[in-house]
Amino acid sequence: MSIETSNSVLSLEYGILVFVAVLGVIQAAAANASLRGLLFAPGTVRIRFFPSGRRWALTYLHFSYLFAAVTVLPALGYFFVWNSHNATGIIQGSEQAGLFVLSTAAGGIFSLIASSLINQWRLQNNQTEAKGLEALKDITWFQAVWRRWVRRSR
Amino acid sequence: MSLDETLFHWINGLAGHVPFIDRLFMGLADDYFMIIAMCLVLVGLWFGTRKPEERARNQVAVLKAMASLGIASGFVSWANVIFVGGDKFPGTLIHEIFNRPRPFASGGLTVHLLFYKPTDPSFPSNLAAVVFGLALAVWLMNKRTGTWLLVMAFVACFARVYVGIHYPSDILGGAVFAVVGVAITYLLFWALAPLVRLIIGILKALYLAG
Repeated sequence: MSIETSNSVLSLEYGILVFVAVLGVIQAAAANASLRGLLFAPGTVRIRFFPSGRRWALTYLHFSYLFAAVTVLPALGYFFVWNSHNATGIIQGSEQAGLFVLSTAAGGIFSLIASSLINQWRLQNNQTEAKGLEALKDITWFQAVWRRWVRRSR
Repeated sequence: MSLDETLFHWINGLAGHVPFIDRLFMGLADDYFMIIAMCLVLVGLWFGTRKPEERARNQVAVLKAMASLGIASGFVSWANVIFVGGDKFPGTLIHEIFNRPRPFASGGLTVHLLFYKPTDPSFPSNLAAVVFGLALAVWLMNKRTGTWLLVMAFVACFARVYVGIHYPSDILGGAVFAVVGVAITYLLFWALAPLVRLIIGILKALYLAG
């Protein structure tokens, strides 16, 4: 059995899986640190089951952990069997490092943009004097950057 | 038989008895699984701490872990470039060590191979250098998370021997490279402390750290 060096399909698979896993880890971590401005669901999420009509309420903490579970576990599961599924295909170490950094950055940027858009109205009246990530406990990333860098320069 | 081979036989000899355990160790020895799991822990460490002072400390640990990982892995690649190849240091002990074939390719050993056949030399284990570099760098600043990462590193490295692609001494060699990488990282962070503070300050001003 010969070993092929990485190809674009393997790299794409790797990148997407890392991206998905990073989204989940950021949500779980942000929920744990109460960085509500970084969450996709900072309030209580109510789910109604049909046809029974049964209701289920999830706190932001539970929702974030659930989101992490459904993103991180399948991605890691796929990596767990990667060599068995792709026994003749590997991604070189340096390329793997580059892909991981790129996918993590993409996951981080996506989280910042999506959470800022989702929470724009919910957190718009909040004020904070906190600096750095700590500010995201009360406001979104867009609001933080806007207030510090854009509004101040006007 | 050397101590290294005896240890290899003892660990690899456990393979091939219980299919479920074999599958488990094949996954744990995967080229990507444990490294990615450990890197995801770093992502969690960056965002996931409640107290700002503790989070700032963890973020420095993450930066150190990333640097250690890169330096340790770079050392392994560099050592392979320098020492591997027929025309470099021929006949010397160092040439023998760095050109040692994988256990399944050595000929004289009975190996339960549960993995694909890597084509590069056995010593040192690049995965060991990477996972121990990452785990040690965190452990020096955060004992709780660092201990978990060290356990993950040990498990991954044990699995590599279990599936038959490394000798225990390859793992030890990788771990030594990791220790050197961590030492250099800590020295660099100490020497370049103003630069590190500047990077953290920029990330904090962009609401990405702190």
